[in-house]
Amino acid sequence: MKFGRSLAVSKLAAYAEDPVAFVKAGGGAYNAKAARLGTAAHARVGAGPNKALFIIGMIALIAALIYFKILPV
Amino acid sequence: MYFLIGLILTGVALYLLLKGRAPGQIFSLFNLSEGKYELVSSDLGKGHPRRRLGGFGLGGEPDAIFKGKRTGQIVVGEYKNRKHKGLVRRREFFQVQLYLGLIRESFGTQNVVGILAFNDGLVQIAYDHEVFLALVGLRGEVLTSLQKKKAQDKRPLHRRINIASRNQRIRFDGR
Repeated sequence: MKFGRSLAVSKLAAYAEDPVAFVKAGGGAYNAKAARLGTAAHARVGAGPNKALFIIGMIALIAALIYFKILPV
Repeated sequence: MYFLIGLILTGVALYLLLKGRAPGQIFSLFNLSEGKYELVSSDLGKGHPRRRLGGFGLGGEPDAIFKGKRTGQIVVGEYKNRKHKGLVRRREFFQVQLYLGLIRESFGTQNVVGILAFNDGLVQIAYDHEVFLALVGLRGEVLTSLQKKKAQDKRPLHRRINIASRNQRIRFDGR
């Protein structure tokens, strides 16, 4: 744990809830897997469409249209 | 050829439309109206304005900060990726209290309210100045406890003060 100039709000909140568990976890996440899932869920909200998936989808759609001879080449 | 170009342009337009509507998801998450509130800051997703809060030797960034267009009310939104099932964890409650206190300092307003958003509902949190001051008072204890790898006072905050006086409707998880 690095001690910066300011203490993170989330860490202070965790200590206030349970000082012993917080110190035991070294000031880090109690459950690393849950923390990863939480971060991913936060990234999804308000992110809009995934650019890479959208491009791949467009290419797949055009390829399918060409393959089924719907789109003339 | 024109069909292909049209298809690509339609795809790009659809992408931009969905991208433009992305902030709407953040309003929906906290059940706020885009007509009544503006998004001041959010670290949810990408590409939104961001504002980090600081003061009292503390720092942090709420998931979302909204400002009432007519009322000027500041709403702090925190998203928790779990079902609350009627129960709030104390650390979630404390986190929102700290953000509300920092917001009052940063924005110079007392008209603040917090919202905890879970996957199965929302919990509104009123600011409690006594809880905020008690939390700020723990800062030195936290740093010392981490340095010495031993809690300097094993009692959680709710065993030291009444944390629910201004939020009596909230049911907390655990004893």
